[in-house]
Amino acid sequence: MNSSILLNLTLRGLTTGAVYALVGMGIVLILQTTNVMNFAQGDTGMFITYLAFFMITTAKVPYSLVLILVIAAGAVIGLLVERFLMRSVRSRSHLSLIMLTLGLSLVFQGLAAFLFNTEPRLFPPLVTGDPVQVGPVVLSRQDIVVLLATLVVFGILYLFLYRTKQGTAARSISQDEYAARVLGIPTPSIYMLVWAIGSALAGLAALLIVPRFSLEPSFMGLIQVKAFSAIVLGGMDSVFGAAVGGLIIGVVENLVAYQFPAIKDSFMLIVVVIVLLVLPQGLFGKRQQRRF
Amino acid sequence: MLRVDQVVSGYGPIDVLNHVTIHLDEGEIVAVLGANGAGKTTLLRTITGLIRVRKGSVTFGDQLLNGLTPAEIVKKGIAHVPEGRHIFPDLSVEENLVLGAYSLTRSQQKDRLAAMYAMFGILAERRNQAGGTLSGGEQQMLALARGLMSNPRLILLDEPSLGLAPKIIGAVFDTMAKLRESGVSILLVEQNAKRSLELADRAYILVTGQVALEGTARDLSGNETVRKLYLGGTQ
Repeated sequence: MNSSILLNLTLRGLTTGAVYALVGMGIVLILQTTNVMNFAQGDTGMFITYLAFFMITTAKVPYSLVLILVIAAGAVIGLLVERFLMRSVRSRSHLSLIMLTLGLSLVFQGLAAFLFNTEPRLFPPLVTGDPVQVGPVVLSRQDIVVLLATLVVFGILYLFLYRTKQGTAARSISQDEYAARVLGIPTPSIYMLVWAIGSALAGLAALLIVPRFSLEPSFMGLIQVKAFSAIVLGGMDSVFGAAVGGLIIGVVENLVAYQFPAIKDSFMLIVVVIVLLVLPQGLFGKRQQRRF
Repeated sequence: MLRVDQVVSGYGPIDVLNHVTIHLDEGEIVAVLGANGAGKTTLLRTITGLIRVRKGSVTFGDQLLNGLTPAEIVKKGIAHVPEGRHIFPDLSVEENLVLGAYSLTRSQQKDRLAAMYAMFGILAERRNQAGGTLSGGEQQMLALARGLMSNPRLILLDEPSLGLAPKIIGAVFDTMAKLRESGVSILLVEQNAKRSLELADRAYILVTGQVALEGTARDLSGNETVRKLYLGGTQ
């Protein structure tokens, strides 16, 4: 493998990893603040992508507007899930909350199959045109959009968590929910906000990756597994860790896939297991998970 | 100012408070004493809406607090400093403080922050340090200051001297005296009955969820039963 191939494989891997990072960041945000492991993250995105598909093909909505509508739809779905599902069962055990989000994931899949059938559909790329070549590097325009979007989202999330009072409140809840309530922080509205942001991220991630696959009810399944690997690798307690974990997984699997395509998906899980044996708290986890 | 009238509350199937009636007038420090499990913390939690009033009423000024959320009650002017301090360990001192004034505007938060830094110099020095790196005494000061950030008229303090060195306990009690002078009323739950009675105007003694004794701090300090049970025998 010469260095130019290596460079291109790495960049291509970074774009895949960016999508894992987007899904993973949403999962960690919800997990840390509301203490719920959201197994429906991927399929929330899948469902929103169907909505986007019909906006584009049937309603001929321009892409830039679709991007905004997808984020809005994600936020609304997140709000509804928190308000009408998670809130009423918040005090239940972890296991039942996990079962609930797994169930939700199946609901989204079933709903998609029922409304739109399971026929795979080709999703047009967000941007068309020839790949961009800079020296030895060749990147598709879609990949560039994915990388830029992930950078922007990471920046926005950082500003939210560290520069707004709602974000600071979300971090405080993840450390000591009781103290947050004692101080008069309206925890239910913070939970709703976090679910809205997390689900919007799910929609965005799915929309960005779907042109590489085909749109069908199960297309986010494997991506969600990778996103979970990413957050475990990153230490489960930081959005930053999830982002870096996602990028690492994307790059490594793309390099492995070049030589050994058959083990592309399983290889990374083995790496994660090994990392966990050596570093139980992941690469960036400061401590053992306090709340999980 | 605060009136708790015939209140019943508790957890799950169990009533911890059984028809508790207490009151607190503007500018007073009122101590609530009692053994572990007597319902002191439950009383504070009920007042600030963390647990539901099952029977009876809690009023603040002329406003009924029953059924309000903790966030709404903080806005009415009651702050609660919980037992065990509950500092956010990974947030900076300043972030901890600002969260105490969640419902205030940014400029109000700035003013309160400046006031707290003036009052607690050590917190100003440590403003960018993570809360979890502070010593026990500093954390207690931070918890107090964080409660005061919302500019409360009444502050509920749950065991503020617990686990602190004697010298620091003195500082905590001095701070409470200062607060009273600045017009903040205090409802104080304490293990340290002797010091509490020295500071407080009045006191209640809770026994298994009921008010067993009440009176001025001076009367209670002189009371034979109180001396035996809470003040470490005859003095």
